[in-house]
Amino acid sequence: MPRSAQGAPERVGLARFAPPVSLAALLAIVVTVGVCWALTVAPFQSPDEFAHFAYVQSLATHFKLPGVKTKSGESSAQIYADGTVGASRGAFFPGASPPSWDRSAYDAYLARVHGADSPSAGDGGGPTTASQNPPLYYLYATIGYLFDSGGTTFGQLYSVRLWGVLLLALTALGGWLLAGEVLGRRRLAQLACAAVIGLEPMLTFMSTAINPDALTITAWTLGLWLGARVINRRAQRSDVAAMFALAAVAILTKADSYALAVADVFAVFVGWRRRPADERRAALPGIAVGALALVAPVIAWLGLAASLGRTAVNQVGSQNAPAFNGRQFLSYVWQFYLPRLGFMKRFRTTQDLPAYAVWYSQGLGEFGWLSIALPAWIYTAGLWIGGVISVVTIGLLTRLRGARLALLAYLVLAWIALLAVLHVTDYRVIINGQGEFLAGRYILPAIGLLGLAIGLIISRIPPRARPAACGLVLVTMLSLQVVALSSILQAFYL
Amino acid sequence: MRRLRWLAPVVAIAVVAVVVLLVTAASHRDVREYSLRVPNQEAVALLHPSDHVCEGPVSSPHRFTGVGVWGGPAVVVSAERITVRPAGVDRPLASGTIRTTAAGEQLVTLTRPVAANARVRICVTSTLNTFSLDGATATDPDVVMTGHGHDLAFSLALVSDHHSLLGALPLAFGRASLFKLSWLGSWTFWILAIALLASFAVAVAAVASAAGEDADDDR
Repeated sequence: MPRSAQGAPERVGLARFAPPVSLAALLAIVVTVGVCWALTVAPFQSPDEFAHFAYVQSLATHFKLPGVKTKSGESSAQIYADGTVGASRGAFFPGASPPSWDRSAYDAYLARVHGADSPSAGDGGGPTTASQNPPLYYLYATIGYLFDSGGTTFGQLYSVRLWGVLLLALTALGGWLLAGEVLGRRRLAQLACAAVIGLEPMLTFMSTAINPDALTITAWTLGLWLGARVINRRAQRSDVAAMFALAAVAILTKADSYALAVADVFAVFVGWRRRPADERRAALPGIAVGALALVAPVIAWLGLAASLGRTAVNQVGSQNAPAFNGRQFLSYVWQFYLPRLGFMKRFRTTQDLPAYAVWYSQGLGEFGWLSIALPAWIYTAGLWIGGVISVVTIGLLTRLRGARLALLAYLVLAWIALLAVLHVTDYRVIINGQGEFLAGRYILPAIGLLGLAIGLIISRIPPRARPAACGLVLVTMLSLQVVALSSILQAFYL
Repeated sequence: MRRLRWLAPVVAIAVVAVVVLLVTAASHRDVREYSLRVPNQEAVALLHPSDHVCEGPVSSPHRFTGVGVWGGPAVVVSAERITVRPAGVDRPLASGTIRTTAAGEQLVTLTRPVAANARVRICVTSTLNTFSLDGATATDPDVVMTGHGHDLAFSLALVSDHHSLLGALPLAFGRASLFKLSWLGSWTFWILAIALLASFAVAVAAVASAAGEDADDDR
C-alpha cells in the first residue's frame, strides 16, 4: 500500500513551499541537461522546426495565426538565416552537410541583419506544414521569442528553445508527482520515476526543440498525475477541474490529445464511484463545473477556428479518400507489432519491425531530422533492459488489488487511447497515399508509464538495495545523456 | 554512518560511469576539417570498374589525413580508391582504399597527411565493382564533379584522425558557438560541460537525500 504524506515532518512558513532536496537536485540536473540540448542542437535541426518557428514568429511579430495564402510561409529573416547556416540543405544529412562553421560567414550575417538592409521578420505568416496546428504551444513559445525580439533569427530561435527547458522541468516534476500519487510518498521511487522521464534523451531533445510535442508531453505527464489524484481523492471538484484543464491544454496543443480526455472521463467516473453512495448525487454539480475546464476552451477554439475559416485539427485525406476498412486496419496493426503474414498487403517499409523502428528506436533517441542515432549497442542494451523491466513490472502488477487496479486501468486506458488515435491517424494517412505519419516521439506523452514502472520496481525491492538501484537509474540516465549529447556534437560540429 | 552505507554503492556507480565515459571520450575518432556541404541525397555517379570521377579544387584549413565520401558498393565486395592530387597536377599526393563507417560514410585513410591550405582535387576510382556515389546539386559552382553537362557534386569531407572527443572539444565548442544567441561563446559550452559532469555528484546527493527521507518516514 502507498504511504501517505502524514508521516512526513510538518513544515511551517515558507519552508512549506520549498521542494524536497532530492527533487530540487533532480530539477537542477534536468535544467542543466535541457540547456545543453537547447544550445547544442544546430539551428532548425529538429523535426519541422522551420515551420514551427515560422508559426511563432507570425504570432510574435503581428499576433496573427499563420496560413494566409497570399503570404510566404517563412519570413525573409528566417529564409536568410536558413540559407546562411545551411539549415535546409543539411536537414537529414548532417554528416555530409553540417551547419556552417565559418566565422566570417557569421560576421557577414550579423553585419547584414544589423544593417539598414536587414531582412524583415514580419513578412511571413503564410501556409506551412504547421500553420493549421492549434495555437497554444505557439503562444507559450512566443514568450520565449519576445525575450530576444529585437535580436537575430538565431537569437530568437534559441530563446524559444531555452524557454522550452521550463517545460522539460515541469515534465520531470510531473513524473515526481505522478509517482507520489500512484506509489505513495516514497522519495527514491519518485526520484527514479522523475529521472527516467526528465532524462530520457528523445524527450529532452524534443522538449527543448521548437515543437508542440514539448507542451503535449508536459500536459500529459501532469495530466496523468491529476487523473490519478482524481481517482485517489474521489473526484474532488478542484482536482477534476485541474485535470480537465490540463486535458484542454493538451488538446489545444495537439489534437492527438483527445485521447487523454477519454481517460480523464474514466478517472472521474471511478473517482465518483468510490464516493459513498449517499454523496454521489451531491458531487455531480461540482464535477460538471470541473468539466467546464475542458469543454469551454475546446469549444471556444473550435468556434474560433470555424469563424476564421481554419481547420481545428490537421485534416487527413480528402473527399475522395478511401473509406476506413476495419479488416484492413487490423492488418495494419498486426504488421506494426508482429511479422507480416504472406497474404497481408504491405503497409510500411522499415528495416525492422515497425514497432521497434518507430516506437522503440525513435522513441529512445533519433535526433536531428531522425538522422542522428545513438551508438548501436545502446539500442540493443536498451531492449534487454526494457524486456527485464517489462517482465518484472507485469509480475508486480498482477498482485495489485482494489483502488490500485483502478489506477492501473486509468493509466493503461490513457496509453491505449493514445495508441489508438495515433494508429487510426497513421492508417488513414497511409491509405490516402500521404506517406507515413507516425514518429517515435508521438508516444512520449505516455512516458509517465515507463517512469512509474521503474518507480514501482524500486519501491518493491528490499529497502537496503533501493538507494543503489535508484542511483543506478540516475547514473544510467545521465550517462545516456552524455552519450547522446556527444552524438549531437559529433554530428554537427566534428 | 547509515547515510554513508547508502552512499557507498551510489558513489561507486557514479565514479565508474564517469571513468568509463571519460575513457571512451579519450579514444581516437575522425574529425571533419573541411566539408563541401553537399548533402548525400541522391546518387550522382555510378562508377564501373576502372571508372573514376574527380572533384575540386578544395582545401582544408588544417592538415587532413583522410577523405570521406558517401555512397555504397552495388555488391558486398568492393574496392574503391581515393586519390588526392594537387589542383592542376596529375601526380597523386596521397591515396587510400575506402572503408565503411557505422554512419554510412565511406572513409579513406590516406597514405600520408596533406598539408593545410593545399588546393587539391579528390578522385574516386572503382577498382573492382560498381560503386554508387551520392551527392546533390553543387553548392559552390566552382567545385563540381568532372564530366560535362551537369552541375552536380558528390558529398565530400576532409578529415583528420588525430583527435579524441575530449581533445576535439575546443574545436566543437568553437563551431557550436556560431549562429546562436549573440552573447553565447565557447565559454558557455565549457560551463555546460562542467555542469554536466557535476550532475553526477548532484545525482548522488539527490539519492542520499531521498534515501534519508524514506528512512525517516519508515521510523
